[in-house]
Amino acid sequence: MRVLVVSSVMPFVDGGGTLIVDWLEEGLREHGHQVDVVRLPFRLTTRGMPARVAGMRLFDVAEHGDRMIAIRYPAHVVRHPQKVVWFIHHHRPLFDLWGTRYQDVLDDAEGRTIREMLRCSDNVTLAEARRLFTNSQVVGDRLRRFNGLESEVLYPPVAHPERFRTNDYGDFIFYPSRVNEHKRQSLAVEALAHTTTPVRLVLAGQFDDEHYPPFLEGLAREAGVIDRLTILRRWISEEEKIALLADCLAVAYLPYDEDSYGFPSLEAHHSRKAVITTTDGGGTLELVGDGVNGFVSKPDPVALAACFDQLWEDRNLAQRMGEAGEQRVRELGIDWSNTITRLLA
Amino acid sequence: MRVAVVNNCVPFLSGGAEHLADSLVTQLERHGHRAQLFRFPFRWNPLVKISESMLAASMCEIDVADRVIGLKFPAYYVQHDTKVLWLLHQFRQVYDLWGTEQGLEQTEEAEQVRHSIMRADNRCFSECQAIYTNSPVTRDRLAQYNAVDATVLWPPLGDADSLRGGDAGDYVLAHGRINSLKRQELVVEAMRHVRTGVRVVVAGAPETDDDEARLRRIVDEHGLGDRVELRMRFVDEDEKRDLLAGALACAYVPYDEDSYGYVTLEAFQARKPVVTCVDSGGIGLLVDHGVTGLVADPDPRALAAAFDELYRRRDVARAMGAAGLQRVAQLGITWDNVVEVLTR
Amino acid sequence: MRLAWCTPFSRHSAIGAVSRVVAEQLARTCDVEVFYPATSDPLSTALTTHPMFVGENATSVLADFDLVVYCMGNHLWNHKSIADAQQRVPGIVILHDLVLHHFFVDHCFHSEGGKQRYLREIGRLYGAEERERARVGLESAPADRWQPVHPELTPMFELFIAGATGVVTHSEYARDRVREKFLGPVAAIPLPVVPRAHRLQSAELQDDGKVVVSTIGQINPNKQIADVIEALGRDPSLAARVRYLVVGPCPDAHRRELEALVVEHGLEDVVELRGRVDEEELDAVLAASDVCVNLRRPCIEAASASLGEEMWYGKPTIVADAGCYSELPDDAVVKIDPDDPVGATGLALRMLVDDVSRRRAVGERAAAYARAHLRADLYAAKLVAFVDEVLASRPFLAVADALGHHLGRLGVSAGMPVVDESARVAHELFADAAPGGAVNVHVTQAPGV
Repeated sequence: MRVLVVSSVMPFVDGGGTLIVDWLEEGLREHGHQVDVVRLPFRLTTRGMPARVAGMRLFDVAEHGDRMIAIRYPAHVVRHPQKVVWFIHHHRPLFDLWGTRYQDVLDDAEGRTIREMLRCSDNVTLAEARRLFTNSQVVGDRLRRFNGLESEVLYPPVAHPERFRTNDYGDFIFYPSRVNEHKRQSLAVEALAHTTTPVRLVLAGQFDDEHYPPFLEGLAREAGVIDRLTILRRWISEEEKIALLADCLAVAYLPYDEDSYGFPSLEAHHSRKAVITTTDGGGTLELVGDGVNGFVSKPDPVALAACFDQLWEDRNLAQRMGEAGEQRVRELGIDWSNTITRLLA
Repeated sequence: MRVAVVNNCVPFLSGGAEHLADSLVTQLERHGHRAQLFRFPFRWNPLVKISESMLAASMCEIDVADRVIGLKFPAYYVQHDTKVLWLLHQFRQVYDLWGTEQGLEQTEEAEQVRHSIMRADNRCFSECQAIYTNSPVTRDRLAQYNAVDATVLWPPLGDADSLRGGDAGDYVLAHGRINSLKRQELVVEAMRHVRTGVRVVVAGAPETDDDEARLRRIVDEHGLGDRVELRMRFVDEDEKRDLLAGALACAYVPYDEDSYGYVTLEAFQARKPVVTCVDSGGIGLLVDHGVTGLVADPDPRALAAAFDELYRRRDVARAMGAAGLQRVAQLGITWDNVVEVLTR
Repeated sequence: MRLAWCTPFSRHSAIGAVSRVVAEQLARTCDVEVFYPATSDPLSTALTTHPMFVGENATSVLADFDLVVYCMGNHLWNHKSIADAQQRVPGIVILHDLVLHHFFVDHCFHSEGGKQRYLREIGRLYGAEERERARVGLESAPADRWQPVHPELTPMFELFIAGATGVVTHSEYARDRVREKFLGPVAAIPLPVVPRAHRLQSAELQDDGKVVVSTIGQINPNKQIADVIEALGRDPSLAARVRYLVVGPCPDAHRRELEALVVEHGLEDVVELRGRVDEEELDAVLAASDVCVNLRRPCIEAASASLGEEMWYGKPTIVADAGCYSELPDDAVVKIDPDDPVGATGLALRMLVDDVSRRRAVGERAAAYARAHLRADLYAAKLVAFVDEVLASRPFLAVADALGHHLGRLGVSAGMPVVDESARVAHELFADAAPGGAVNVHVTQAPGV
């Protein structure tokens, strides 16, 4: 099949959101399809956005490809007779982040009109799709709430899950993720302070704010657990990450109200490791069952510390949960073969 | 420097320009810049789609880039303060091809579109920081139609290192995208008139079903099946490398091409002489008749004679191929130069 | 909200006087700063004020505000810098006059190449026939002044609302006429009365038992003084019971015509052409008036400030049943058939002179109406509500502007299919977000193309 993937890109901004496009391209090719990916630049500031959305719709690829898969806002406005949308999220400042500090226009007649216009353009263009998928139940619920649209959940797999392996259930909790306030690495450090076992914590990932690692180290120093905290401040390769996943006791992934389960959780399960997350984690709860393939803890350091300790003390539990995690991923059909079959059905 | 390279795109079609864009991005990165390629879909039929494509490109914002390099119409309309053009093409259908078979059909609406493009081009060119072209032909056209004084910046071959010479076989290779402007039918027709055992391999993706059918018809009608091999599909790099290595020569006979063409550079990189036509345009810069290749009339018999000559005099063919590679080096067609100029 | 209020804030401008009281009312809910033409002698106010100049300098300052409001009227020097800024920073335009032809003709008269521009714009807006008429008109114009030929047919307000984010008019009549030419939001908000500073007193008018009838304001032929004189002349018994005071500046030629008419009808003791008077005398005349006559033909006003004032002070007033005047309640004014001005004015005067209780009732209704509707606080409140409507429509206009801007840069001309097609795309995406929220794309001719 000739598959055209259309995606938007914020020029010169790296983000997890573009990885899925690269992986999809690779996956489609591996499954024998002819693929072309068109990445269109798009600026995400709300003011002036309706005009930019209209501009994007003026690109015409309707003649090309047996399918068009649109990923990332607002690629779904592009017209195609066989459009499939994999909806990752809304323009969030106007919808699920409205009323938070991320809202970037005034809540006045003008701001509300912009919101209505973009809601309307989403409604119109999503309705054109032959299939509408989201990357999580959370986003599917938002589509129902903001747009009155039903969708199917299609969990995004990681590239080449067979790369991940299991070596040991070691003495450290691994938290591989972008490091920022929203991901709450600080919560993991505070939890460390309340542990009663010698369990260690390893943080790795891109730092959005250079002041954050010293802040985390300060926390650990104050609590007297600095010797059990490792922050890998340099860039780590995929191979290095895979090795850490293979050796760790379990993975912590503690974002606040995430859209989806997050690739760190998935990679943990591919490495047969349990995932520790929190009750306010949002999309992570779609993957992790408390006591089954990890822990869903209250978002407080004491409760988290108990999870860390329990796994440290009971390596068999860590292994059972990790294996259950691998099973869970399989049950949910999170693999490229299934994903591509559904996208192109 | 954060550099955005903007090119137009017809999904699933890839040719010299696409290759150049990819190479430019790779080379910018290799020279320490952050580079991203944006391909803006371009549709020209019906006519209103030309204007729509222009409008869509113009409305795109890449203001976080320190530099935008525009390669093709209408992608170069994207608005940016420090935009430079490395122009591979204007929309020739409304300039030099206007009034010819390849131009837009001359209707009232087409006239309007043409004037709009000319006005838009003039404005865009006047707002650019610098304008380079890939060939003297494009440069001269800019001067003639838009009164723009551009500088030629020769496009180097993207992956020069991967190509190698090899023992000359019995075939002339006509590779690259297949369409009516590239006139592969001249090469195929020529095979009716050759007197030696020379063969032809046509390798590349046809742009339309018609383009494919046209060549097949000639082969079928004249029973050329044993002398003409049609590989009318996407040819990957490995296959191309092998085809080039084993070729006697390359034939590249487009009508009035703007530039010398990748096909020519690839041929010389593989040390093969190039057969081209007197009306092929920019290819003449690299192909001197009798020195680096043969320049024939755009006529199957003349091409047949050229193929026969190369087949008969393989040593001369080999020498011409080597001279071609020297010619490329003499002209300084290198990425160091291109990257330095475009990020200046 | 930070609001820039651009107005002729002059002691010599009626618009200035109204806009001061409105601005002061607006200041209760918004941060208002006043911008006035640097040439004017500004009124005093507690608000922050800035002089403004023709040219770029006001632009960057105005662009910083959340919203800019421009008070537009016919007086060239009072409004030149306002009209100039409006072209540069889009905002809400308040049309104090619907016919802005006088402003434009004066503006062209005073600018180089003005004649060509004047004729070109007339032709563009109203066609070749009006252009030709205007050309002939200019040929016979006196050296010191050009006059509009058919201002009622060629109002030219279109020029001053182009690019506006919203338009405010002062009557439904004016609103409907603007809507024919303007696609954004248009409001009709009644013009408030500025209560007089002087105390009204009925001094200096000898009470001789006659009914005092007055017409107050700029005295031009369209105020139909001649028709009133004619009506009085036809009915000597009515004339015998009336004193008719005509108060306000009057061009000499017209004054001579009116004087001749008075003499012709032997009304020297009835009609008084007072000409320009000071404020105090104006107060006195208004106070002494039993009946006012406030006619127009043609009737092309957006609203009449003088009528508002007459009603505010409880005067039974005779108006033409046309244009914005038709919108007033039938019992608060006396409306006459505009096609029979002499006959109908005579009948109306007769009725008001004869029927004292009717006269009083109409006056009371007029005062009640004016005090209920023609108030600066109400005006400000309605304007604030309209600002919301304008804000809500602004993102739609922004899409249309962006498309128009880019199409203009791309050398697209108005009739090309891409104009409709891009509007269709925008409409398809956004129309459901606001009822009637169509996106209308006009190609902006970018300078230098």
